[in-house]
Amino acid sequence: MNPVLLELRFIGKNLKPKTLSIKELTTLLDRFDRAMKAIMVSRHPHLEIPPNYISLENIKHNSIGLQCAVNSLDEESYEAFSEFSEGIQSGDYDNFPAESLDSLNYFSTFNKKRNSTMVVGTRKSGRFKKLAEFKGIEKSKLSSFSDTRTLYGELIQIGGKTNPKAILREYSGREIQGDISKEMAMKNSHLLYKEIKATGVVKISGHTLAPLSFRIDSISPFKALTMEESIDSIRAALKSSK
Amino acid sequence: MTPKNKLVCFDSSVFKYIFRDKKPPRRSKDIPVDYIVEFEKAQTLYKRLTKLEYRILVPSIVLSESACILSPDDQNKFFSKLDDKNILVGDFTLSTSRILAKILHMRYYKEDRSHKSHLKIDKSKMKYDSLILAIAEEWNCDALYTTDGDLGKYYSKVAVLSMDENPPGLFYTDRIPLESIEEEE
Repeated sequence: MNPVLLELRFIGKNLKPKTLSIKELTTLLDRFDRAMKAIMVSRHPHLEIPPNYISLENIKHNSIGLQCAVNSLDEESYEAFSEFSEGIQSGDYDNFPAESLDSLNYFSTFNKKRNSTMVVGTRKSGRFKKLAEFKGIEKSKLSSFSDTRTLYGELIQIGGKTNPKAILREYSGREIQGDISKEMAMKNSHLLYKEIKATGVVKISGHTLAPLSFRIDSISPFKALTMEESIDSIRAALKSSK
Repeated sequence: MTPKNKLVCFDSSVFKYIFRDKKPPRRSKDIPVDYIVEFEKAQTLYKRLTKLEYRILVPSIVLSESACILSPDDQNKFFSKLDDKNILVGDFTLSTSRILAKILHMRYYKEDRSHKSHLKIDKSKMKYDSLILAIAEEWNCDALYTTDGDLGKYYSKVAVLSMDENPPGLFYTDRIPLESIEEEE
């Protein structure tokens, strides 16, 4: 069976691989890779992504067609690509993680400089299916806001070499990745796999109202009451306050 | 199989039945039969969800409603007593207000044409429980249980269920028939 390739096409006058510097070409690929990874990690925070989960399969020479094959994590990769395309098409970039948005900014600058358009799609058995078209970022579409919030759940991951992160699995099952300082990561590493409450500033998409990022200011142990204990506590507090 | 990491929310009408005594009120002229039926449904639901280890989100506005029968001094005592309890209390935040605005817009300006003009909106129809629904959505709850069938008309990512229903995503084999709960007790 022919694989489905992920394709980014940059269409513009006199735009072809030989008119680009190697750095420009590799940066386009690198930005695409980063955008994909950021979306995948934001949706599946515990996902370990191998370096070659996608690879360059071919470069089309009419315009610049960067065709990438998916080598592993098929489901997550196609899901991320689909989300990437939908975000571009609808203009809801707000829902993108910061790094994906950075990549989009780069594509936007590239298009402006080269007077080009980026077309995103899939290719199977030689046939291209266009999913989205992107010229540049409309600043008016960006409308995230921040809110201070306390989140509760199990700390399922903490630490990291360069940018320490903490991943919290809320009681609803939703996983949220937060940025933390190295000191805080070291101080709270003993809370791994334990219930915690984390307070910080959440960046929220104005369009989808979903959390985009979370900067954690404090972490402390927390043991949530069960449903029975919660109800009993409220019932008892009501009765004893009369 | 027991669901892990699952969260549900009750609206104020369901809470009302659960906060009461564990035993149903005695039948009398003052207590309608419907009340006892709903009370028993709420208790059964509560036992079923407890058995499945669901957690409960208690919206702060439900606590306000529960405390309104108390004098201001007693309300102070009530809230202080809950301070050090690790109950999952969902506050009405800035983002909740945005979620609620979307829910109300969908209901009154998109779906229900008779409310197209804001001048025609009957505010009494903007259900109080829609505030609870917005909090449940912010917390990503699996379901909101209600006795109000009309609440299901509000567009939300949260499943709005009656007390007879199982939470979404629960496999058939995981469902606990009501009689099995009674037998074990």
